[in-house]
Amino acid sequence: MALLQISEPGQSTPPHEHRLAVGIDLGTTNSLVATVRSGVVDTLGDDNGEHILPSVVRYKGGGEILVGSDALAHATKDPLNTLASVKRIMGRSISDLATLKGYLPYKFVDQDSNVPRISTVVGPVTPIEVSAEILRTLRERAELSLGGELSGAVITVPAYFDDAQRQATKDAAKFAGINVYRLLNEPTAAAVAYGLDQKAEGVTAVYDLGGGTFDISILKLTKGVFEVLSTGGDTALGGDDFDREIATWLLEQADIDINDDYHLMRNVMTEARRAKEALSDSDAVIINLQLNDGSIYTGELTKKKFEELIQDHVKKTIVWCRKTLRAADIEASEVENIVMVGGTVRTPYVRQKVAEFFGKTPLTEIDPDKVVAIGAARQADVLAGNKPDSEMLLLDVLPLSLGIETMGGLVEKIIERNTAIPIARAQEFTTFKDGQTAMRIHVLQGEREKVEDCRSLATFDLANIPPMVAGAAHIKVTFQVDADGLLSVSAEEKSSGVLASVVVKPSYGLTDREIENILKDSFQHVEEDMRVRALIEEQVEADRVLEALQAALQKDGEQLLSNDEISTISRAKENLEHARKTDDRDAIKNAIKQLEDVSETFVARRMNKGIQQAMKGHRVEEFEK
Amino acid sequence: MDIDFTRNYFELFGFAEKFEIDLDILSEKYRDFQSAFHPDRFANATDQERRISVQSTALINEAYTTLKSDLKRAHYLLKLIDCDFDADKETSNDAEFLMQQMDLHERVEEIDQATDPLVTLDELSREFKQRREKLISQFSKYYTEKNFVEAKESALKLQFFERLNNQIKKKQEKFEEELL
Repeated sequence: MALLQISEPGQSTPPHEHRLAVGIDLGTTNSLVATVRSGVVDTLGDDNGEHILPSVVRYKGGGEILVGSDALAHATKDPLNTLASVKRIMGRSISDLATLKGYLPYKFVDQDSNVPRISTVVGPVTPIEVSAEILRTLRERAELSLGGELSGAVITVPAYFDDAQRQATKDAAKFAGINVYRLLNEPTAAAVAYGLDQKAEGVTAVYDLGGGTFDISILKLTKGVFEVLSTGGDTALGGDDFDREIATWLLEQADIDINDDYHLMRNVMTEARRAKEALSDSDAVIINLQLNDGSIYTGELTKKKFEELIQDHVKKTIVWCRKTLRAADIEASEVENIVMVGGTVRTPYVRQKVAEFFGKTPLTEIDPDKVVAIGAARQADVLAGNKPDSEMLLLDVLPLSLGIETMGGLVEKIIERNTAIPIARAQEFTTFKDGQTAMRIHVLQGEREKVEDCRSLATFDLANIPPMVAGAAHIKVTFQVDADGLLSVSAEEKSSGVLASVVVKPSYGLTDREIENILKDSFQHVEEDMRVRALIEEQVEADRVLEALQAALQKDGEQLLSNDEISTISRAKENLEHARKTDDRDAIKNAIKQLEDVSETFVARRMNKGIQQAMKGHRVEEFEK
Repeated sequence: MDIDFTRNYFELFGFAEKFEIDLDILSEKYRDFQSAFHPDRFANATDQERRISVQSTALINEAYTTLKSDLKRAHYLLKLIDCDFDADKETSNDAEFLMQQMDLHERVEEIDQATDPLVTLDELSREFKQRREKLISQFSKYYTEKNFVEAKESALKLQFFERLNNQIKKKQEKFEEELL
């Protein structure tokens, strides 16, 4: 093979060209966008100065989509169309949902697809599309506040996300019109935020307990290179579990049967969360719960009881710490820094248990909600080429082993977990029938031995194998994992050199066809967005016209207009006020036009009056010069 | 910088083809390679450059992983002199070692009945580590003496301990899982 020439790093970037790059923390509960401006890194806020965007999307009849607190505000009133925590179901199949369903108060549509769809007022939507709305909102916020189009973004994912979940996240970014520089593990981003990459050497543990996921990562830094030694965690463990424990306790105390009452369930969850947050700096909290019959249940939750409720969950995280340390061959005492990430680490009991396990105080100076986005922004700045001298390089490992199905429903591992990525491994297959021209390979991800215990990623159909006697064809299948942890497969028949074509049937993700359709839909959304924007502009114009006319009528109406003229104008004014309340842009536009027409004389007279007033005390001749 | 895909892993990292290598130099070289070739260095480059970058880093990672592990490095050396073996099927021919194997298997199986299995596993794991180290120096000696038959024999024994170690790890995980 030829000698390949590779340009020096940074060479392809022209000097002095600053690219707009952001880091995005796409969280289960909250999302954030951050950027580096004049060397300073910070998260970006919305018009109201809010930095945290609740990862909640509300679909309204008529096509309007609300994202963030606007959507969250309706969570209780409109639970089925207000989607939260969809990150939990990213890259999951309908059968996976059986274990999660109880937690997610949504209706799922059974459809002929690998991706579950949530039933909403605008029709079924996939978790990927919901995530895309969140990402789109963050992109628009960033572009507005940075004043230009984004060149690229680093989006963070839990270290333990498998191929399907990573792919789903990348698809969501695609739908949101974001160029993804890199999917970065959340813990790695957090360590970068603390500047631990600037140190010479050392082992760092990142303990990330968010709303919906727990991750523990052991990172090793040597001379500017971050290596993820091992990762562990649980994609279904987090602060939401604390809330649920409180909620369950609350329901028991209040003796309520929740059934399918989504409204009440939401209420209970909201109260549970409030109680949890309050207990971060008090020893007890009073809970008031409005019941359906209008009565109010009042109870007290002590810190002691709360810690009792959550201790099993916290213990689980500590066992994961132990496991992950061993996978990295590191003793707890060798860990120099413990970075705390995620809103749930605000719970003092969590900090206390972590400190006990590692035998040192964890780092908590940077807002645990923002730390991941801040680190991602720093990495995005480097990847954009804005810091050509930067030595920072983040090396990752494969979070879960990749394997293929063999005889008897067993899995043969091809790439072991914790292998540094990118990586490529080849495996040879042979035909077992004379003249066989096709073959199917089932790819799985996971650590268990049986197919049913691992996650099915995809089936690959190899076709165009040259017909030969059984066992004569040797098909070399290469499994390649890129820096984002995403798998691709290629195949070649060795003796003939014929490239076998590979048709991927993802077990979980969207098919190419589905991606195409959603992209088409999103273009329709763009039209929809423009329509909404035009309507809002017209409404603003109507308000402006009405306000100006009202002021003019008050000042000069009686003086300059006859009663008939006033009533004509008033009718047109009422007409516009009425149209203003509708969503009909054309009606508003027409009503504005009408009102302007009938008040034309009035406007002309006022103008004359104004001129006359201005000329008072002056001779006409002065103006004729 | 350029990378030649036809060179073997030792040549790639600038080592002579022998068992003893300086692991510090290996790590240092590895980081230099990564700094130059990693896809992150090509975030704004063309698709073609990015593809080459992924392929190059994949090769570097594979070479690094192989050279870093004693067993993998030994196996790779044998492969280079056409003395390859099938790690999954082939076992040592040494009759005495075969008896030891059965005994060791038994000890691993009995762990389930131990009062504190995790502690017993840690003890076993330490004992195996010593045995492995002995086999590693044996391999190195035979390979240097060009006694490839005995070298392969040591590598196969080493392979057995590798598998046994994986069993222990699985058991450790199982017992830890029960704590979860």
